[in-house]
Amino acid sequence: AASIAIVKQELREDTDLDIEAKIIELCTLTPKGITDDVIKAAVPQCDIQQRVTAVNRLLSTNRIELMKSGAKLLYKLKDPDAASQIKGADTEEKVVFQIIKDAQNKGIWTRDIRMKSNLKNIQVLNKILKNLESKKLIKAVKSVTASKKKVYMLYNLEPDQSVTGGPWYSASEFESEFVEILNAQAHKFLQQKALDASIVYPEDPWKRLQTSYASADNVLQHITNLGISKVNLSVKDMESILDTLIYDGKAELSARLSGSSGGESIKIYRAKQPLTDTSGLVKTPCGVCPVITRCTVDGLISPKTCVYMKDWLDF
Amino acid sequence: MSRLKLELCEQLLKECYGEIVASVGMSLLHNKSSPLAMIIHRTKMEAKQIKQALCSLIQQNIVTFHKNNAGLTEYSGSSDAILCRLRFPHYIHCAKTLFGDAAEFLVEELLVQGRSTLGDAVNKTVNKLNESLAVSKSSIPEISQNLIKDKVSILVKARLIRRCHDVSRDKDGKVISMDDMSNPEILFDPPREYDYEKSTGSKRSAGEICEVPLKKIKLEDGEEASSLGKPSETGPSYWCVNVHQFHHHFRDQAIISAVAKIIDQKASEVMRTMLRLSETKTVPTDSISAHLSFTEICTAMPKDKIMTSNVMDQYLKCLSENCSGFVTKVGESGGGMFQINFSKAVEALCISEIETIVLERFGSKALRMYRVLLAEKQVEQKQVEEKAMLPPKEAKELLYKMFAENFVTLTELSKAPDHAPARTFYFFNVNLLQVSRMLLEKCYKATANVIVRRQKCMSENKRLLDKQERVDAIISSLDAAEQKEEIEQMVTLSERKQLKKVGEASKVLETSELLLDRTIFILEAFINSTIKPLPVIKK
Repeated sequence: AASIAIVKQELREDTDLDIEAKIIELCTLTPKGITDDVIKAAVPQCDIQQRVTAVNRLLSTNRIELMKSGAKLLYKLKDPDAASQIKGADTEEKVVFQIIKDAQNKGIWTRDIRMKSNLKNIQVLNKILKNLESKKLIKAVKSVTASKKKVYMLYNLEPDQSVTGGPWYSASEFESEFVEILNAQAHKFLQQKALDASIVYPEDPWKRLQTSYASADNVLQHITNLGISKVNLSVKDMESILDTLIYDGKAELSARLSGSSGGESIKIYRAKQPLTDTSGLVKTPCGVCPVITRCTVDGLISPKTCVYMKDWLDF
Repeated sequence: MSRLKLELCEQLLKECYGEIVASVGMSLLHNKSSPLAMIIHRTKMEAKQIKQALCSLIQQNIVTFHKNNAGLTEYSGSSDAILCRLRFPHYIHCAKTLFGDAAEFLVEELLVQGRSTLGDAVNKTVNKLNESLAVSKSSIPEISQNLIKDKVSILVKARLIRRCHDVSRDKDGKVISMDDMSNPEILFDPPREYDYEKSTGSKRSAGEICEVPLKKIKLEDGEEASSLGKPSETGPSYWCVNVHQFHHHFRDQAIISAVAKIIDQKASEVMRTMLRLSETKTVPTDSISAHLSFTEICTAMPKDKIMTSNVMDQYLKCLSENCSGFVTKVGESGGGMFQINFSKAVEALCISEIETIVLERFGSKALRMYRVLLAEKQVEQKQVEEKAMLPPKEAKELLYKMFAENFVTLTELSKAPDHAPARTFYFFNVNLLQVSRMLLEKCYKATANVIVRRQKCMSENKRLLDKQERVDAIISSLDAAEQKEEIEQMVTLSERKQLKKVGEASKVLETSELLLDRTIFILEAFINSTIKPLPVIKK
């Protein structure tokens, strides 16, 4: 009986290692993570106790990590590099690091870290963050939306658009001059295109109209050729600049089906003029007068004594 | 009737007709309609003066009268008729461009007189034209009456002048009320021979057999007035200017010039032809015109602007694909059926006017944000900033400035039932009708101010202007050159400079009145196009 017990013991030890190896193998196969059921299917001869021991051992040696998906538990293979990264750090730091890593390139705010890690003490958290920063594992990035807020993310990641604001923000300040320059250049390009079209097709109004349209891509190429932008602009950025032109009333939008078999419609733009001349109301001082609501015929402010009218009539 | 509109009416009445008529007119405008006794009580003037004032106002088509339930005659005034006075130069200019000098003088005569018989109008026009010919010493022979009479028929056919509303009488032959004639058959009935007779109070018109001798019509209060005869009776009828037709013409003009700006001059000619065609086919107050076919438009184009059908087709394509939605293609029969959408056109023109006002008042950055709001309806403040790509501080300042002056409205949408500001969405949007009305009031105020300023300018320099007039009168009566020079010396150099300044200032003020009137016209056209007619209760 004793020998049978010894044999069983040996078997069990072997199977323990087997289970661990099997688990590692399964994890490598499915990088997304495996559930308990998958392990059970792979090593049917082991019982639940052995599986649990194997999993726990792998977890403590940091070979795999535990994730939760819905109500189920997932085991995922851990990156050996990552394992080495936080070597020497204690569990609290590990937890904080994990949370920041999960936030990826959007970054995470200190308060959110505190909530997720359940750490009550702010000083402890700050110390951990400072530690990690000095180890060059994480960095703080100023958010463009709320300038006082700092978000933390992994050191080697590029901050996301929503944090830095894209090409229009440099050092988290809105660069209005840059936008205005691009706006003016795009307008000039569209106007030139319309002029060229009217020279080429003086008698064909429809063709003239069609050739005076330009797509966002065309405008983008023209601007990149001019070389006024230090940053690389995407087509989407160009579209937002052209939208501001539309809102200025200097351009109009239309759609054209692209000639390829894809059949997608692309946005095209054209320079245009306003429908009516400047209104008569603003050609008189009354139209732009700041105190018009207090103006009465025989009052302190009246047309008879109006200073603005006097200047206007004396030119 | 808003306060500012009434103030403007008062200014206009005072300027054109004097204090007495102004106070009578204003008393009528402040109250919907009042009998004579009420007017006397309110204005505290002599009955005789009031009656004369009423007569001149009726003559000018500003006041109408009817019998009320109590059996008294009530008088009511119309503020729109008074505001038309601002547009007189525009009407006259329009008549001139459409039909020439003779038409210009005819329309001017009818406008100044309010209503007149054709005979009088024609005579005066002939005299004016012949005078100007004599002065210019040209070799053109004298204008004959028949030429002018032809012009009159052309104007009637174009519906620019019409017969005046007649009066209805009761069994005693007394005048009780003005007819509310809107039958186009009668209004635009071409003038007959007797319409050109001289209007006389008591004589029988020659050549007409009449059973009933011309009576002097008695008004209810015993006052006598000149005869306002019906066409069936003897005597010529009165004619006046049909302002509604002129307004349609102005609206068409605005659309044509807008099309010229969007596409080009030739396209505006196409638009003009289409509008001319739709005039005959559509009821004027409709928001969309009747269908016009491609072949119709082609054949209707004026001879000197004819173009190949290919080019015409292209222009129509441009017009219908245009994003303002003026013209839409509705079918393929007849080479393509097109329809003009007047309400959209007027709305686009109105929006454009408002945009220019925002541009001048707040700046180009504010205009950008305004157009974002127009395009996106309800937007949060942050979104406006992002779309317009403006620095947040500036954007915030401009947006709130526009909000303070009521160009922009705010809608609150709370997330929580306690409506806490931190948990509420605040949406900005533009309510076009509200903004138009607000700007219309501002225009009225500006026009009133300009008129007041002009009068002040004139009265301040009255002495100088009178002096200049006398000097001119003396010079024109003299012949010798040295005496002329002597008299001219009476006006010193500095006085001459002052006079020149006054002249320029009044010119600037008058032009601004006309420009303000254009804006008033477009805003009013838009507001009226949004008013739906009241449902008719069938008894």
